[in-house]
Amino acid sequence: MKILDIFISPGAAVKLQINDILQMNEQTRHYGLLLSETEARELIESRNRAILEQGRVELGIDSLKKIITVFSSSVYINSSDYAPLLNELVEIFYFMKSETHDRISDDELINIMKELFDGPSRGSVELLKHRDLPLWSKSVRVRR
Amino acid sequence: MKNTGIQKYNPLKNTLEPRSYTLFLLREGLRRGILNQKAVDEFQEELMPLLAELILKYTRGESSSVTVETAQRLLGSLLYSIDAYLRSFRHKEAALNCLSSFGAAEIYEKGQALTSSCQKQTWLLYEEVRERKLNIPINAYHCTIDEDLPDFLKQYDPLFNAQDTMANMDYPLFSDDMRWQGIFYIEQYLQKLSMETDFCFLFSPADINQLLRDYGRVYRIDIAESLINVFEILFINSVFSFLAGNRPGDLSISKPQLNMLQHHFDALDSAQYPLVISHTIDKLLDLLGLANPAFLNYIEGFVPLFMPRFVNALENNCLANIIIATQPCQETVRVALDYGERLPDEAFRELAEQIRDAVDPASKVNLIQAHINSLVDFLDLLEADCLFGQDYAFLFDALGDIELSILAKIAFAEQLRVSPDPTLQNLIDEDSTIPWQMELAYYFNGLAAKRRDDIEQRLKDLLSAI
Repeated sequence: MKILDIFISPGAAVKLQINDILQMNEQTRHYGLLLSETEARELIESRNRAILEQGRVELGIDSLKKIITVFSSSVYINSSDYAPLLNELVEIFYFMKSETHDRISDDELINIMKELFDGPSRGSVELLKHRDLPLWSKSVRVRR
Repeated sequence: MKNTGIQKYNPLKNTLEPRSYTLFLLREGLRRGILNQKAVDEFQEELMPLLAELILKYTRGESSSVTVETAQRLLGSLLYSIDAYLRSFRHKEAALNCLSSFGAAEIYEKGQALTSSCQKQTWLLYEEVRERKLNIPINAYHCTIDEDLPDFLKQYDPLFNAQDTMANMDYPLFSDDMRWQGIFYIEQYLQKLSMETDFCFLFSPADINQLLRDYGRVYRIDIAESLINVFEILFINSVFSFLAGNRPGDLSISKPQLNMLQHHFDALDSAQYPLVISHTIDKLLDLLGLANPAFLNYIEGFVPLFMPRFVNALENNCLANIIIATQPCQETVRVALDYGERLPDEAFRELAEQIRDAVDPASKVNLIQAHINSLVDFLDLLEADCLFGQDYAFLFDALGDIELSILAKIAFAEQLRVSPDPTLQNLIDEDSTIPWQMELAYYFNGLAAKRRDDIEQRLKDLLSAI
């Protein structure tokens, strides 16, 4: 059994995290993008699942909040697909953190994701995930 | 409490790392009622912001998440420093009081200071051990001191990987304690190695190397490549040599003496063996003036460890496997006493160049021992400008009492002529400009009084034989 097992599962903190996410609505309201409490809960669950799947540990939800802040300005996101899109972006983010072996900072990765999403992917998560990010990550591996 | 993604869950389960003293104390405190569940929960909650801060430092603020393996390592490092402080209390109760009175952050800070201080102390201890390195032909010993230990000390990371003992020290101690980790393991390794070295310094290098060669012959091994503990071999032989009637500090045991020991123990009840051996050790250590409590504590475990092997050897009539009988052949004597078989001039020049270019004193001595068979060549080599500084001490260390007395007779011929009863301490010739003769005089001055007396006796025997 690993020493980290003394700290497991989000449990009681989820409520606090949901509140944190709901407070982000104040920032994103400007773009007409809002999350309900249920959507915020699902987002936290997606993030926890992605972290677990990628074998990672994160104390706090800073990167999730950064994703919301950065992507809310995208012209390709509207209120109807805002929540499911965030779920997918969060999953991609943690996947790419592992894929790039932690060589890319949170801010840099989120900004690249946004750049590609708004650029060559033209708002398609599928293209971002399966074409543009893999291409970019390959170049990162070559360069670094 | 800070909003974090990972929360405490069912604390103090039976799954905690056995090596974490802090977690053991928390569980113990809970069991004995010194700490309540709330205090234990709070302490563990306080670890989380410390870990979060450490993760940020580790990623230089660039990433808020790390892999599970990295997080485990960082938490292990954090707990290592906390353990360090809590272990500094002599009694568990005091450590538990500290846990209940101070926060995790404060204990962590004090623990980090202790770990850093230990790192500095360990460097100093290492320097001491390195300076007093024994001149023995065991590669693992030299590799451990020259490479493994400094590599570890240079790479040790008290912040992010304090618990890691990534050193790969091949040289085995007589009694190693693998329960320790990180810098505290290395510190205790060096402390023990230093005590073992102190003991080895009681014997002449020639006697040590003679015993090691005999050990290699008995076990049919190349001692240079063997992972053997020199202290243990010396300790066993010195104890049984003394028991066989030799003077304290003698390592030699003749075959008749070995037979006598076998008969001696055969006549005893096996329950008396440990008593006889313990009594001999006590007496020997007393006569050798070894009273350092840490050393006495270190060798306390010798008899229980040694007895099964000893009883087995005794029962199978093969005491010679654990007590090394001295072989009559002495390689070092060959160098100085043989006047024949000089090297051809060309070969001698090549050898002198090789010796001049050798990187360390031990390599130079190895070359000399391997190729020089004649006293004339040996003296020529001393004047061939291929030995410098410490080389001389290493070379003289490799010689026995007889060879050194012969060198003294040659080097100080003039003083010996005018002084009928010479002492090696006052043989320095102020007018001498020959480096090896000056170095020999310095070497004699630095010797332990007993060893100098032995060489002086040999010198007097030589002079009276003329």
